[in-house]
Amino acid sequence: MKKQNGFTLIEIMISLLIGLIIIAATITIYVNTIKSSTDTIRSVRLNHDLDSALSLMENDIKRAGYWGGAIAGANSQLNPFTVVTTAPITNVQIPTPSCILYSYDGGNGITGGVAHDANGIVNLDEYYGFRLTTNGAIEMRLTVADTASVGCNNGEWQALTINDTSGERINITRLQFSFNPIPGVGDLAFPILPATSKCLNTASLVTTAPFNTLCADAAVGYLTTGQRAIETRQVNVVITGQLANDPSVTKTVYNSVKIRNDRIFTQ
Amino acid sequence: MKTNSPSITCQRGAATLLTALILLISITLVTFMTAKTVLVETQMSANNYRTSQATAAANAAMDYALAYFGDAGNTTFACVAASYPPAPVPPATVPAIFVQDHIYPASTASVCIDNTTTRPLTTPWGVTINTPCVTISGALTAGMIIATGYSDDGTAQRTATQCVGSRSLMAGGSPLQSLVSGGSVGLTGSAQLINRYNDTNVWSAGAFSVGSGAMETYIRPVNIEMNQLTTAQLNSTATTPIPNVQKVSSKDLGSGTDVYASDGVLAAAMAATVADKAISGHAGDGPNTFFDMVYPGVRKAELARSAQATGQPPNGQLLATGASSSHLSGKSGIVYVQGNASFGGNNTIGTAAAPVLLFVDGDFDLTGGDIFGAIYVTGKLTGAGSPKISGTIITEAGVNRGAGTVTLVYTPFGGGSGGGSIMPGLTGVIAGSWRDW
Repeated sequence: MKKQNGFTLIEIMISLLIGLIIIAATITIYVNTIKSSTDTIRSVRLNHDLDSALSLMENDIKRAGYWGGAIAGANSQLNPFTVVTTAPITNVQIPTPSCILYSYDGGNGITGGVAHDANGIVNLDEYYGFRLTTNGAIEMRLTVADTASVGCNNGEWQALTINDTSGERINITRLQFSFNPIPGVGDLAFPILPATSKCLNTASLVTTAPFNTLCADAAVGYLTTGQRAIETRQVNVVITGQLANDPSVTKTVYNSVKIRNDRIFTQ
Repeated sequence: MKTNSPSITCQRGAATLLTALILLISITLVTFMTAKTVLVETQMSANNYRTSQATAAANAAMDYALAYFGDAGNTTFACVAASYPPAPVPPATVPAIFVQDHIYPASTASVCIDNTTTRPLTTPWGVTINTPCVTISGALTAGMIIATGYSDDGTAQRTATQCVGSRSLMAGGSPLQSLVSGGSVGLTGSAQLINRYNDTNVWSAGAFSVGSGAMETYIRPVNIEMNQLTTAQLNSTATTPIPNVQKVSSKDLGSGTDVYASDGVLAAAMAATVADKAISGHAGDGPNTFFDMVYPGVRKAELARSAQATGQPPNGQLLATGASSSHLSGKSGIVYVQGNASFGGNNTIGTAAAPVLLFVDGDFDLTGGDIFGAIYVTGKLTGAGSPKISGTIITEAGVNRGAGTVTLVYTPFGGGSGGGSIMPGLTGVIAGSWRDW
């Protein structure tokens, strides 16, 4: 009988033990890597989604009030994109803290062969806005159907954030706009946002400081009928979002936007 | 004796090795994928940062251009492309006047103030900006600022445009007379009032008295048409002899046809002024007042604000009561004195190219010097000496000048004198014209 060459029991035990230790260590490293990688990717995605949304809002809101008819010699008080007294209101407004509405002469459409961009009138596709929906998505308004209904619940809106049932969905838990300072909420989320809109009565005494609110909120008697005023608007924006499938991954982004086109009007 | 020498067939533990290898490769792949995600995110952040840099540079350039326009915008410059690649689309043709380019700060932004009716400018994303800011090419007092900013590495570029313009205070037209008075006019010295543009020199609500002095008024001779004279001839302040004029009023001739005294329209405006001042908080500048007639739709406080916005902060050319030659000398544009003022000596206010609009909310004592532009006095104009004024004098309470020789040559404000050039304090952005797409 041929001599059996084999491992002894001790040898097998030792090699199995070493093998198991190696596999266990490798699996642990693997699991940890996957976990941290997943966290990183989720965090990056959340950051990116919120930053993109904020950036898009900033860049668009600051254009509010642009009017193609604003040329030398034009009366800026006639700017149809800053109407507040008669419907439809086209001036930038914040009807609820999570909804901002504004308009500017930048529509992409064409009516009667004339492009909407800078055509001087308020087209239906120039009523813009951002809002937070009840299911946690940020939406941007593309157009309204008619000028009779231009509120936060009217028109055609499109989601900016991923709002489907997939694992990539993010929930926006806070979207806040304000013309006035927003108090901070401690060191966890964001500091105080101090940007303030101003109302300047051009016919008042020179030494009078501008009122640090929108003209509509200025003190009684600051503006009297027939006086001209310039209103400069700043909008503070805060967005807080979290991953739908891991609410512990949460992030807050914020910024202040100066609307470049001031509103000039006669009280 | 056979030994257990190493050989392929004798190897054991291949399964362990294989498993470990697969796991290691998986870890490596996962790590790479994560790293790639992070790298992409880093790149996005870098791009955002570059865009922010470019936007900030464009904003800074815009601010620079606004300050330039408001201060000395009538300098002639050529509009050239910025030095940083990629160069912005240079304007195809530029008018010779009031177009300037400045690279600010070096290599990060370029600015062009353009006053053509259309300016096709293609943005990096392929949109052509073609919005005119002016309706007539070459207008001196308005244009479009095109500010293009770049990131430090030049890869990102943002362009913002904005219309700028200049407010005309003489919206209702400059007065046609060299002297408009809401009160009586008494010129007892050897004053010389010259108007080669129109046929009137004095328009007053009160009486006009020449006195015993050698006061004389002149207009352009009836047989010379205005277009036969150059602007320099029309505005000439030469006195011995006075060229291209004929004498209309003097001590011996009496008040000629160029003097409208005791005018009911002005008297009614002055009555409205008094009534307006009686209302609490009103400054005598409401509808139908004397001030409203000269500067329709403007308020005195707005003039003061405009003056405040010029020159050195905090108050610019808004001066306190008691302003004298040392405060007024060398100024141009809107100067607002909140009370009485005096001027004399060998000093100058304004220039022919950049006239002054001197608003004195009180009495003005004029004893000498040269003044180019319009003088508005809410009180009385008094004085002596030999001042020379190229422009027009408007006073609510009248004129009472004693001895001395005043030479007042009418030049239309915003017409011949500083015709449509920029006046500090009257420029501004046209609200609603800012765009970046």
